[in-house]
Amino acid sequence: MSRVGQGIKVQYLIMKPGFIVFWGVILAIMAFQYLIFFYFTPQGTGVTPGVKSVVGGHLLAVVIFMGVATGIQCWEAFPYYLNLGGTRREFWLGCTVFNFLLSLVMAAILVGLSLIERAVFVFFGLEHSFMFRAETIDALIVLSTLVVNFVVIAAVAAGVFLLVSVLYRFSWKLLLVLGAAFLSGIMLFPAFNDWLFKVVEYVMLAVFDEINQETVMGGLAVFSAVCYLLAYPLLRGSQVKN
Amino acid sequence: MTYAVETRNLSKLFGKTKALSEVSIALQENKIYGLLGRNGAGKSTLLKLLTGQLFPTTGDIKLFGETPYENAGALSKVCIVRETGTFLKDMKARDALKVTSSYYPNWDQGLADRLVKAFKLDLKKNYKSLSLGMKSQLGIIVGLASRAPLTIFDEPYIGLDAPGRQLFYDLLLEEYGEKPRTFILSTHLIDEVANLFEEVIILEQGSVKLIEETDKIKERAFFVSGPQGEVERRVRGKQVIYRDTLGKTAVAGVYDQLTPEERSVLETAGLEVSPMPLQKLFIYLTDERGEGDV
Amino acid sequence: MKPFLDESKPIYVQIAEWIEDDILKGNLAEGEQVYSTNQFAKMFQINPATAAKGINLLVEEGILFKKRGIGMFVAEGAKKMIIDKRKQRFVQETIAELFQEARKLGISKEELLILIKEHEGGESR
Repeated sequence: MSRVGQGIKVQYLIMKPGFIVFWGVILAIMAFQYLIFFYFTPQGTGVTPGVKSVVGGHLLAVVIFMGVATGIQCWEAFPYYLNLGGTRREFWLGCTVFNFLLSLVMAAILVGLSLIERAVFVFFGLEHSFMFRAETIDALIVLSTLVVNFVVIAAVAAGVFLLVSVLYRFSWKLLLVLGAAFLSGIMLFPAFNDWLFKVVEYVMLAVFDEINQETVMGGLAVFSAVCYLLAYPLLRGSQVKN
Repeated sequence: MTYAVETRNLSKLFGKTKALSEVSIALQENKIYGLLGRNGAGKSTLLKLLTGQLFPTTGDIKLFGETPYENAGALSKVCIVRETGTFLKDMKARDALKVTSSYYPNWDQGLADRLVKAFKLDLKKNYKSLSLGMKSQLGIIVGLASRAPLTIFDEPYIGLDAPGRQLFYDLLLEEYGEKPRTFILSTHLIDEVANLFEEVIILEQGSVKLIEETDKIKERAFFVSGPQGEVERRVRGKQVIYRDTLGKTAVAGVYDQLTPEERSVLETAGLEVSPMPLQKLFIYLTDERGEGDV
Repeated sequence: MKPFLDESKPIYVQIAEWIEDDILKGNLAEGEQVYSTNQFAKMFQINPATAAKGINLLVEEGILFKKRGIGMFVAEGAKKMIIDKRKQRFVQETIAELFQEARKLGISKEELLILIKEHEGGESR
């Protein structure tokens, strides 16, 4: 196996326990939610007011998981990887490929669960999920949902990866400065605040609705690419923390 | 001649702290080196620099004639086992071995298996739940089975008890006899391992205090004891690194050339000449109270 | 460190003496192959180069000889050479030390000779 391949394997081994725990917890929560959903609903209707989907809401959980996990993963793996005799380039490449694959897997699991849920809801003749609102679903809808989920998850991973690279290159102090600049930007410049809010709103709308989906997804993909491109020189210039 | 390790004027600053200054060493292939130094002397910094984990502030490094930075070819010739950082705490021992093995082209799985059996290591456990001794053993297995042309042990036997360490020394020698390669051992337990080293490097406050063949060091390091005045008179002109008196008897620790003629002169003058163990030499040379300047 | 070595002399000298002792005791016959440096290294827990140095010391003295590609062997007449060498050293060092110690204790030469004789007598009895 190539050295990059080995790097990906390292990432996989580090991620495995967290991955299993995460999906274990998610599945447990879902099981619990369904239990409540079907058991304690108003008599006869089988519907809890307001609840139309269980799976869809978990995109946020996946996003948070990816953020935290990628951060810890890259933070831990970098010195370990260098100590093994890997190069920074291999590390960067390994992380990029691994994050890509993991995001894809996460998105696929999410979509898979959603499909199952839909089938169940349809079977019971219930009003159902907002991840697949269409009356009939076809391969195209499933695929586009997959892509949307993937792009969002991957963008989070990319952003966190860049953050870790900055940390390794410039230490915590710079991050504090950046954080302070960011916060003061929000507080001092209403325009910046508005813009940021719009970006988040756009992403949310694109994920959960179909407004401007292509543009926002394209933007996120570019954002991810830029993150990885910026991370490369940063990592090349990084050394282990003493 | 290509050296396993060659550094020129290697210095490393952390902020304003000088961790290493002007280190120029050349380590030959297929020798066992002892890297000695007190805590904070710069041993780990030096080793991390050699393996490309840290960048030198000034100076340069060659591993088998090549610069290690971003050089997969040169880096795959080196295996470094450190007390921490060689393994990830949440990884199973089996996975840790598997991952590590894939980085060393000369990895000997048969040897790794034999050692796992000899140490009775439970590979199903997570690294963090291994005992201190088992953690050390895992590191030893990696270092030995890597068969890397340059194998570095940075205090890897910290968790081993005395019999465990003896076993490590035996295994190391066996492996060295079978497949000669360059070893660097950094250690505090000098007396135990002194005889394993062909050469010794002593670091003090980031500088190389001494780099010399162990046999030569042992020939040069000795105590002279006898009547105070006589000792003082006879060791004049020699490097005295240690002095002590007890009543009228004085002891001088000398690190210098002593010809057989000079030796017999000392002996006929009624002075006693006795060898100085490496551990003592190390202590005197790195003692902050001074005196030990070579 | 393994038990048989001490700090009093360089390790390689002790290795050489160990081989000599084995030859004197008859554990190593003339013409027989000597243990390899690696065997020595493991047995005494020392660097093989140190063991080699000890062996080479004996090669230089003609007590051992090298057969290319096979190893080290005990030379013809090795035992006699060792005995001669040790006798010489006995006279030069051990007896000298004996007198030195005697001087410290204020034992005269004549007294010392008597002591030696008595000791001998004690041993043959």
